[in-house]
Amino acid sequence: MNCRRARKLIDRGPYSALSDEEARCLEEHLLSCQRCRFYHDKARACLSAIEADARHIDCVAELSIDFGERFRQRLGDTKPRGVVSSQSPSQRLSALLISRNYRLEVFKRVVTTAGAIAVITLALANEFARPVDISDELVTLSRLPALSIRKSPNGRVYASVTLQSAALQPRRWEVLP
Amino acid sequence: MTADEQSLLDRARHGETDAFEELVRPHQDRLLKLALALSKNHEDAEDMLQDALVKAFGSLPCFRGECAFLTWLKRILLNVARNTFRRESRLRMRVKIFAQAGPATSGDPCERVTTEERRQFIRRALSALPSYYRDPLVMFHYQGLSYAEIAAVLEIPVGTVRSRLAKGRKLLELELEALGYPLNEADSVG
Repeated sequence: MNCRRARKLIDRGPYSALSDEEARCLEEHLLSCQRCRFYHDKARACLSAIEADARHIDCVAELSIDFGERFRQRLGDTKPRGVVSSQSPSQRLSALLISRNYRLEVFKRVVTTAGAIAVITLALANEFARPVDISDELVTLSRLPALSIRKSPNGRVYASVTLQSAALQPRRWEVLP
Repeated sequence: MTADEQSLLDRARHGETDAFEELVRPHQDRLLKLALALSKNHEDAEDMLQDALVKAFGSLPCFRGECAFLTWLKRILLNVARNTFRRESRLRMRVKIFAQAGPATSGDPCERVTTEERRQFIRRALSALPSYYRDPLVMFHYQGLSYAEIAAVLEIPVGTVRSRLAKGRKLLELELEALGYPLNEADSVG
């Protein structure tokens, strides 16, 4: 048996019964290998420490005198989920409405909802309420570049392009022929 | 579950605290031992037990009777312990207390480590283990539960219980060594 196998058996030992053959091989190996013997002793020592602690707990495990009283107090504040209350529905509703936590919760919800509505309204207003440029000379289509061509009395031709920029200010360029 | 227990359970489900107290009274000692093994001191153990029992009372309608009542209570207690450990470890991370006050590191370890300190070492080493290794170890060594009983509480196969026990014991040993516990002298604990 090699050391690796021996250590596996040592780790497994307390929790799974080793076969006779495994136990014999391990014993032989432990006699011949000092390092594995040390490993084995440490494992045993760890188990002894736990068992000693467990024995100690068995001795001292006793509830304090006031445990029952404290427990009863805490139980009084608790109710199993889904238990039907002995109060009438109207009593329960009024108790719910006057409870501070409920009012706080309602307030929080109202404020949150109103805030959300305000933000959405502002966003929509900003999106759709852009000014539209309507001039005598130019026909402007909302958000689209508008091109207009006109002939002046002196016979020159003007082409105008009107754009609406993101800054909501119409721009106009005049192009000379 | 006997007829008496069933009637107590039904009454407790309707919010009768007296019935619940009577129902859990026979199990309190065993639960306290489990809590003691999972906590650092007696006060913490009682708090843990109380939290678990109050939680159990609140969740009584969820108990479907598919396992023994004690098994169900143990499961709740283990969950409470897990949450406590998680909270404590988070707190430790926050305040950076990694090296709690332990025995001095100078001098002969066999002389300076008292029996009570050794117990504290074991508590700390146990609390440092992941719950899936700690819980089977505590139930096997401290509660004396069989593999099948541990498997029922943790809802895992028996083979997994065995492997977690072996691995957990090994990790505990490493943890004790890291804390400076004199393993070569462990036989004198008690």
